[in-house]
Amino acid sequence: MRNILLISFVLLLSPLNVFSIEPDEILSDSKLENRARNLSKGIRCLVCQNQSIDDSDSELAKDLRKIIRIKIVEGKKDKEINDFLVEKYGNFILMKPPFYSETFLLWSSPFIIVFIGFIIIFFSLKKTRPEN
Amino acid sequence: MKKFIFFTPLIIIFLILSMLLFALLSQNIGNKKTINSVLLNKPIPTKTLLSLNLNEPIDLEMYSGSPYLVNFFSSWCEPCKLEASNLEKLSERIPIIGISYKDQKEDTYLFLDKYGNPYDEISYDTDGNIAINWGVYGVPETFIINKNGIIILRHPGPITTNVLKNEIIPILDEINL
Repeated sequence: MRNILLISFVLLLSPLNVFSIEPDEILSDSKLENRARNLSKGIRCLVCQNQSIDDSDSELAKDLRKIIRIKIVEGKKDKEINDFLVEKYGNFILMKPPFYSETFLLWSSPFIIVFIGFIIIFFSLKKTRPEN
Repeated sequence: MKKFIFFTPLIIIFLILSMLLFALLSQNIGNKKTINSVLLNKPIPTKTLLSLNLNEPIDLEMYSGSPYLVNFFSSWCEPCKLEASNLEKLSERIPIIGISYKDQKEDTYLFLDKYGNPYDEISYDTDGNIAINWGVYGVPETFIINKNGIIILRHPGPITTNVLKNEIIPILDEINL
């Protein structure tokens, strides 16, 4: 009984992301389809923002997935497809924004925070160490 | 006491970073420029559209020489109904090209009959590709194009009376329309 409940629970959770892509979107060539899936995972759904278009059910995400597949079939390279989408929607469309002046803080903040942490630890230890 | 000494700077740093993050985020929310299209100040991405009624080409180059508006709309879009009367007002001052987004022709005509037709030309975008070309997020969305064919404003969402008064009209005044 416990196992059945566990399996049911896992099954309940698992389909959430699987059904975003509709059957008519999938390319017959599995190699090209894999490329499309990988590309889609790196493209932000602009109307949901915290999801990639690969995970999103929104109309825009669906259209973007379709256009990615059209361009793949046309023989466009991944970079060309990404560049096309950035040209239309800006760098914000990329789940992993490139490193440039505006994203400097975003990329460097983890290192800055770790650095500050080390400084704090260093001074705290220095302060609390007995003097002898 | 030792713990207090150790954690106080951490808490202070955390608070400072939180405030910084909050300031950055609230700036992004408050400043509409951050969601402006990257196509702003660039030439229109589509030069030719197809007319809804005759399926004949609409050459947007023909409109260059004077400013015009491009409005993506749909009959199934509730906010589009909201902006209909304001578009009607705007149409007295500037030509409007409507692009019916992912809609059935018959539904578009019914919508225009019911809510008014402010458009000089109507085109259609069945698969959403034109919208993607214009960097559109959803309907309604409106662009102001200047006399040189350059996009000078993108407004996502309906043209409410406030938007009309505070965003659109000042731009039209600025370009002497």
